[in-house]
Amino acid sequence: MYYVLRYSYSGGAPMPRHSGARGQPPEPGLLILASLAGGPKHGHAMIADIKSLAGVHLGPGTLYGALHRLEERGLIAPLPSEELRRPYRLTELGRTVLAEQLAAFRRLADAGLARLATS
Amino acid sequence: MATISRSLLARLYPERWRRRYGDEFRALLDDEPLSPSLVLDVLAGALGAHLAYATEEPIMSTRRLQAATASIAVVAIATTLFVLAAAVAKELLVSQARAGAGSTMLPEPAIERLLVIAAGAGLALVLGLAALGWRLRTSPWLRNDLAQFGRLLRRLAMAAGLIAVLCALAVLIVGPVLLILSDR
Repeated sequence: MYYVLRYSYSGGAPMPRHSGARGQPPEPGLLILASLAGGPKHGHAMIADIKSLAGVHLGPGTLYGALHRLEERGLIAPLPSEELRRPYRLTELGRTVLAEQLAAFRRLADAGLARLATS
Repeated sequence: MATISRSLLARLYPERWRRRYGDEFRALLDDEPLSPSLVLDVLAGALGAHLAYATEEPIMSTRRLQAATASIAVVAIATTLFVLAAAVAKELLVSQARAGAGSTMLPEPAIERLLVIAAGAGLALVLGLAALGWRLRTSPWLRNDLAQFGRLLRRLAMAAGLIAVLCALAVLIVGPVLLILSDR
């Protein structure tokens, strides 16, 4: 499951990445899943939510590339359109994958912080 | 102008992608201020979508590809043989007629062989064309696969064009920065 959210377009790095002001931003797929964990959103709302959540601005091309991949893998699902904007929701599989990914981040963060504290 | 630019940007995506996401993507583009970073982001996204669909769609199966290639190869080889053999035989006949004008000399064995080859190639050409025509008329898969192959080539050409545009933009952006840095 660790590699479920790998970039399929470009064969990029696996999803878990360090998030922070000076580090690499997390992969768009993870940001989208985390945003949708708070409820269904359309593209514009996701961009704004991710900006406030992680300080990362996703462009429309990046956002829809990731949405396409996530939808193909059954991690998110579209809802009926509201005018021209279509909201997306997290599926059960998406919820499970997100929980696993965040738990992996937490384990990594706990281990790293513990080592820093003892070194 | 900005509306046209956004419309053009949206049209860079594959048609199949636009049928699914086109309206909502265009609505999102309209909300974003037009900037170089937006253009680069959309160009990269369109390139990714083209590559994704190009690798995702099944290309014609090996068996079908072999059948189509065999039919076309038969026609091509038969045409070449027919034209070559007929041309050489004609040339030999003409030169023989000039050399032995008025004589009742029979054609040389070489000329006979060439004429046989030309006749055989002509027959193969007719049969190959008939087989290809019959396949195209009765087997929609060949037409579909050839059309699919054409779409794949177009998509790859578009992907190559997008890569070229991205490289040109990168040179335009990075070049002046490097010049400025080198001046310092």
